[in-house]
Parts: sequence; structure tokens; C-alpha cells
Amino acid sequence: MTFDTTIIGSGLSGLIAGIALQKRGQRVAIAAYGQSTLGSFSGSFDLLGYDAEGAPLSHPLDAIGSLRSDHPYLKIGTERVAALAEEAKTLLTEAGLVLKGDVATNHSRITPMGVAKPAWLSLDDCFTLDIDDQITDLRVQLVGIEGFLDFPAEFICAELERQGARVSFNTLPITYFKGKRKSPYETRATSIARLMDRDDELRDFAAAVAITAEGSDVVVLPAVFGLATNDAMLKLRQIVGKPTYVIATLPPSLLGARVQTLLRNHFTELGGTIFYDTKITSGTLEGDKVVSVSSGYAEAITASHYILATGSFQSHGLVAEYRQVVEPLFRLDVSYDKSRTQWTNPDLFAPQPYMAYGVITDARFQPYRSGIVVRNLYAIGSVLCGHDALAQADGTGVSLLSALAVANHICNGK
Amino acid sequence: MRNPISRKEYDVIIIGGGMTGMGTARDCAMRGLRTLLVERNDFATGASGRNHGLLHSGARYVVNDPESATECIAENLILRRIARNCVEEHDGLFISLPEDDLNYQTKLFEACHSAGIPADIIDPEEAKRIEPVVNPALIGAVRVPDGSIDPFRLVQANELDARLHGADILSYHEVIDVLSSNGRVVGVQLRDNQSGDQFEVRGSVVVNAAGIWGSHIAQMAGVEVKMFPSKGALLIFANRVNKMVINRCHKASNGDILVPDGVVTILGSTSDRVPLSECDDMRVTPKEVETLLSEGTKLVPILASTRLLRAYAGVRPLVVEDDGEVSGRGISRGIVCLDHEKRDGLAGFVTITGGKLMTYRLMAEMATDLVCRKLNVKRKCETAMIALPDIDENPEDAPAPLHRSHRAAVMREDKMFVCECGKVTLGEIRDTIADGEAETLTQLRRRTRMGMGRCPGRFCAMRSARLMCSVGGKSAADSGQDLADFINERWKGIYPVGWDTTLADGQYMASVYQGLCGLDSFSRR
Repeated sequence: MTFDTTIIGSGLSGLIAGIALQKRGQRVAIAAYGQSTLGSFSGSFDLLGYDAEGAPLSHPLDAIGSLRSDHPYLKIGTERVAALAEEAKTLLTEAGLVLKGDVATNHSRITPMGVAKPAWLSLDDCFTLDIDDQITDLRVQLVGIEGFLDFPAEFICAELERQGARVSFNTLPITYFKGKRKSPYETRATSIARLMDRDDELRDFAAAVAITAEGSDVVVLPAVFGLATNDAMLKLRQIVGKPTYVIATLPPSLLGARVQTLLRNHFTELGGTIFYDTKITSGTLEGDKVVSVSSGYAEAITASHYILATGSFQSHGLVAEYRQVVEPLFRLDVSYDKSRTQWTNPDLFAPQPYMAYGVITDARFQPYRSGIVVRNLYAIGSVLCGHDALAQADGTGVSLLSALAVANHICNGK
Repeated sequence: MRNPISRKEYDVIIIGGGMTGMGTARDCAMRGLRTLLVERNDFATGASGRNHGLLHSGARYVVNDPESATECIAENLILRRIARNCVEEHDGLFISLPEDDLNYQTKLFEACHSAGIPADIIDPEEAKRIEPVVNPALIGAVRVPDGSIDPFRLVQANELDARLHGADILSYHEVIDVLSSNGRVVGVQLRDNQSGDQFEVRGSVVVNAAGIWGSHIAQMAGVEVKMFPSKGALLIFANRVNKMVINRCHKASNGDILVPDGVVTILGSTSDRVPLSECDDMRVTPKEVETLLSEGTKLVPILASTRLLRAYAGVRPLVVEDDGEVSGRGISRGIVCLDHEKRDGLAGFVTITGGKLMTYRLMAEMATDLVCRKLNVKRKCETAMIALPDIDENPEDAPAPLHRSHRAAVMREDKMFVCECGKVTLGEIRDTIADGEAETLTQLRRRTRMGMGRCPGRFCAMRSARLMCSVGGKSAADSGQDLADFINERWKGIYPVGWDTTLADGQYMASVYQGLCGLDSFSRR
């Protein structure tokens, strides 16, 4: 099987790169395996949320110049970041995501614990605020679902009240669940969403929300509406009849599942190929070029270009061995501290050195192997070194922008 | 308002809510003494909650310390009888590897025989058959009646029985002074560590069962007990790797015991002297991890590729007689029961220390015997005969939690799991919080084993933090702070073994709690 480009990894960066290349007429294959970090997606994309001291940023573009020298954004260049960000928004919109937010100014997403965090783009469903929004005296009706443990409403309630909102909190039952609940697997966000995709369940529930929400300015619910599209959300809003938003739940994230579905569908509609459940376990190199990749079971996949989009440690794109950090597929050069004791900080919430470990690349995101650039290989997303998605809130931004930068390099290099 | 406890007169006040103190409280209460136990923290927070969970047969000590070995086997058999719901009976092996001297096996076998420990030398092939993960290079094996014991549940069972016999048991009450008058201890000055209130309690005899912190208690009473804080580090693996306890058949050393406990496996331990000041915040060092792993993989080679969950450490309260000792391996694990009246001329004060988790009941018996002699009480010890309360047999009447999940399943409609890998139900967590038995997630974890399982996400902690608000009436700010502390406490066990999937799981935990939820902002307030 031969393609123009083969992408290893079907998380956010792999899918966006696939879409961008397919749009430009390439034949692209994506090897998909395991769960991506979209499984814990917040509903918002971030570009750059915090500065190096951890202070929230209102204008992310202004801060790019002061990032650490190996940060992926600096490989793209400050001016190109804004352009690629616009391109990313366009692509996501074309894939069917309904988005709010813009690159010049961050807004605040409200987390499952009610905390405001800076974001660049948010799904239209999400409860967000402008950075200088005052919510004093805003009457919020917070609605939980009976028996659903993964929406920490108590925290949201308290945090919004701390900001001056007047919050009332109610839980509503789901008819279908009565007497059936036994395990949390049945009441995960995505399983509830499957029910809510049924017209009758949604209508019953929405009608109950409308009654509960009388006298409030805005209704906030857990993100359990609309697995594949935001149709359920639109229907809910129509029935409730007032501004209605969701906040992400604990994983699995319904919003992440939706983003994944929309991007996969868009990619395949454009003619792309996804090899599901295909764990690429080996890459064959000849000199400084990759000639094929293989899962060891099926036929090897060959291509002119390869993109490594395998993610960080949690996605096993990087592996911390006992004494070294490696990129397991191609054994690419990786940036990390040599002593294992330096990998972590004893305070979980302090910046963790391991977060910035990853594959070293040149300015075109081409990785090195024993100091030599692999000529037809690119690395994108969380497998890249030089950024800390937790401390600086730049993870989805790096994924999207590095994917688009690489797509441009591949097409322009032809 | 004065604390009602302060108006009571006690026969005995026990300091320390670990295994030894709780066992002593049970024994004293069963003998009809008016008993008070005080613990400055939660129960089982010291060595009682930070050990191997090993039901020793005694073979470990039999060559060098036959007295401890004899105590171990006697208590082993007693615990199997009185604490059946805390014990897993699966036997153990002492294996010899090619580099080991088989003469030691002979010595161990013969010593077991004279100490009354049932032991069989078995063929290495037979050992591989009954314990397939054992290092196939073994050249000898001895089978002994080792097992596992759940120390948290055992402390709870003793607490429950002490209460049933009328004892008052107080956690979060710290002794800040030992009161004496005319060469006799007459009580203690307590501080309620939650409210900050201070008050005196009077008692005829005070028992110092504070583990490694006992030297400090003795100091308050004006006597000296020289302790040797011996740190033991352990590693938890995410699977039940072995079926039986696997020991190395050589002179006791580091990382040479592997215990299957529930769904996990615990490898330990090390033995190093640490300063007393470190005992309140034990952290496992990279060197300890390295030592444990290199020794542990000799017992069971597949440990090298088994997912590590966490590292933790406890402190053995050994008593020093010789200042030259460095590792503590040479110090007897024997029981030290000090009558300070005889030793130091201070009446009404007893220290019970040394010993082992295994011999807590015997330690309690010795301390209680001494207390009874002082009070001229004749009643004999019955703790070896009468089983600890087991809620399984009588769920309706049980006044306090044991096998809570079982009770919850019987009594509650809501059987949903809050902690999926620990199989802890919503009903169980709700009851534990509602009954005031857990005010923090760490206490909840000790009571219910929530968050002690194998999952990387630990969503159970968030779910429980919600219940702390909705059921326990905690403010969201406090509960959020508590959750941040709890998750960071889990990280404390993860980062020393932070490589491979353990680091990947740690990153996932951080991505969910910090990235998705913003929990870090609660910890900064």
C-alpha cells in the first residue's frame, strides 16, 4: 500500500495534518491505535494560556517571542503562528465544529471544577466567559444528572458563586436509568450521550430543564449532548429557550469524542484512508529516509512522506525507560535530562521537567536520528520537545499548528 | 466547652493509634479497664499502615533471632483464628539462588523445626510448579506458612472491638505533655489537633505505644528510651504477580520479600537508619528504588517488566542497645516492654515498643499484663481466644464499619462503584462520610481502600471529593484543597518510580486533574 503521506497517530495533530494534506490533493493514510488525549478534551483549544511564571495571558501572540528557544511556535515563527491559527480555525470549521474565540485575545473556559482557564477556541456548546466578563448577580441554573458522578457540580457552584454569580443547583433524573444503574461504566458521559441522542429522552430531559431553569439567566449542564454533531445541543437550547451551555465532565469526554468523529469523517470524506486498530511497531529506514512502516501483522505501508504524531508518554509516543527517554518507533533523538531524578518534581502541580521532553527537530519539524535529519519524516503534536502543555496551556495549539506547518512543508517541498 | 473526656477518670491511657496501641486498647477494655486511646493523627498512619502486610511464619528471623521467630509462628496461628477476615492464607517460599549457600537453607530448615514452624524442603521443580513466576534458576526452596494480612482492616477490627468493650478512642488528639506528680505519671495533657483545644485527662497508668515517636513521649515523661528509626522502603506492583510469599533464603537483606496483597504485589524492604526528624515525611529515594528492583527481580524476574504503582516507606521502632549499629538489620525485632517504675523509678508509666505488626497482640498482652499488675486486676488475657468482630457474620447489628462494601451491598440500593478497581461502592463511601469516620480523602482511603487500586485516572478521588461536600458538608474550597493534597500525596508515591507506564499514568493523572480540571488553583490558595 503506497500513499503520498502516512501519518502515525490519529489524535488531534494526526487528523488535522491528514485533512490539510488530503485537501491539497495528497493521498494520505492514518494509522490509528489506542485512545488519544481527545478522551480528556475540555471542549476548548488553547494556543498559549500562561506565561513562564504561570500568569494567565490575555493576548497569546504577544508572548510567543519570550517562549523557550526550542518551543515549536518559534520554529513556525511569530508571524506565521497567527496565520496558521486562522487556518486551523477554518479547517476545524469546515470539518463541522462550531467554534467561538479568536487568536488575538484569549477567553476563559470554565473547567469541571469551575475554575477559569485561558482558551483560544471553544466549541460553541461550552460555557465560556470573556476575560474581563463580570458575572456578578448572573443567575445561573446548574443542572446535574442523577447518578452521574463525573460532573463535579459542587465545585462549579462554589467557584461561580465566588465570582459573584447566583447559582442554584438541581439534579434531574434520566427516565431510562431508573433502577438500572449498577456501574459507573453505564453512567459515563459518553453512555449518557448515547441516550440523549434519542429524541424522546432528550425532549423529556430538556422539558424538565426548562422548568427547573425558570427565573435564571443562563443554564449550565454537563457535556453529555451530541456525540457526533451538535444537533442535540441545538435541540436542547430550543426547548430550554434561554442561553444554555455545557461544561466538560471527567473523561471520557463527549466533546472530545465529537471532535474526533467530525475530524475522522471529514478526513475520509476528503478521500483519506484510516487504518483502524493499527499499531505501527516498526519503521524501516534506508540511509536517512524512511521506506516503510509496519504493524508486524498487515502489509507494510509505504509513502513518500511520514509524519510521527504519536503523542507524549501517556500516548506512548515517548517511553521513559529506566535510564533514558526514547522515541520507540524510529529511535529518534530525544531531548531530556540525563538523570532520572531530574525528570519529575516532587510537587505535582509545579512544572514537571518531563512534560517538555520530546523529539528534537529542525525548523521544518524534521527529526534527527543520531544527529542526522531523517529527510522524509516529520514530527508533530505532543511528541515534540520544548513545550509544557500543563504549565503553559499550549498543547492543542502545538498539535494544530505543527500539523499545519508540516502539511505546508510537505506540499511546498514538492 | 470542656471536652467530656477530660471529666472522666481512666484506669489506663494508651498513646498511639497504630496496631500496638489499638491491640492494647482492646486487651485493656476486655479486661474491664476504663480505657482511653489517643492518637495525634488518623489511625494506622505510622508503621502500621506502611509495611509489607506480611503474615510472617517466623522463618525470616529463625536463624538469627529465634525468640522473635517463635513469637511470630504463635501469633501467626492466632491471627488466622481471630482475624480471619484480615488474613490471606497462601503460604510462602524461601528460595535459594545459585549464588546462595545451600547450608543456609539447611540451617533455616532445622531452626524452623526447633522453633515449631512447619517447614518443608521442596524440590526446585515442585517450587516452579506451585509458584510459576519464581526465578527458574532456583536451587532450593522451603515452604513455610507465610501469608498476607491487611493491617488497615486489622487496626479497624481492634478499634471496633475496643469500643464495643467500652473504650474511648480519639484520633487527632496529640499528647503534648505527660503529667506526673511525686514520681508517678497521673495523666496526659492533650491537644485536639482539629480544634486546637487543650485539656488534661487523668489516668492511673499511661502506656506509651507511639512507635518511633515513643522516644519523644518518653522524653515528656522525663525518661529516656533510645530508639533506632529504621526506614523501610517498599514498592507496589500493579498486579498480583505471585501466588505465594517469596522470600530469599539468606541472611535478611534488602528487597528480598515479595508479598501478594489483594490485587497487587508488594516488594520490600530496605533498612536504613534515618533521623527522627524525617519520620513524619518519608520519601523513597532513587537509590532505594534501585536496590529493591535489582534484588526483587532476582526473586521474580518478570518484576522487571511489571507496572509499578507506587513507592512508600515506613519506620520500624527498633530499640537500641548498641550505638554502633548502622542498618538496624542486627537489632532484634523482639518486643520491648518497659516498666518505667522498675527501670527509672517513674510509677504509672509503661512503654511497649520494638516487635512487629505480627506480634502486636502479644505486645498488647504483655503491656496489659503489666498494667493489670499495677492496678491489681486479676483478669486474664482473652485476646488470643476471642475472635475479632467480623461484620460478615452479622451485618445488621454491626455498629461500625468492617467490610463496608458488603454492608452497603446489603443495605443500599445504590451499588454503583465510586472506585472501580477497588470495588468501593457509593453507599460505602457515603456511609463512611456520613458517620463522620472520614473527614479527608486520605482518611477515606484508609477506611475504604478508595484510590488504592490500579487505575491511573483516580476519578474515584474526584467523585469522593464531591461526596465530601454533598454528604459531609465540607465547603468546596476545603474539599478542593483536600483533593489537591490527596492527588499530590499519590504523586509522592509515583514520582520515585516515575518511568515506563508509571510515568505515563502520572502524566494522565496530571492532565486530567491539572489540565482539564484546574485542580492546581485549589492547591495554591
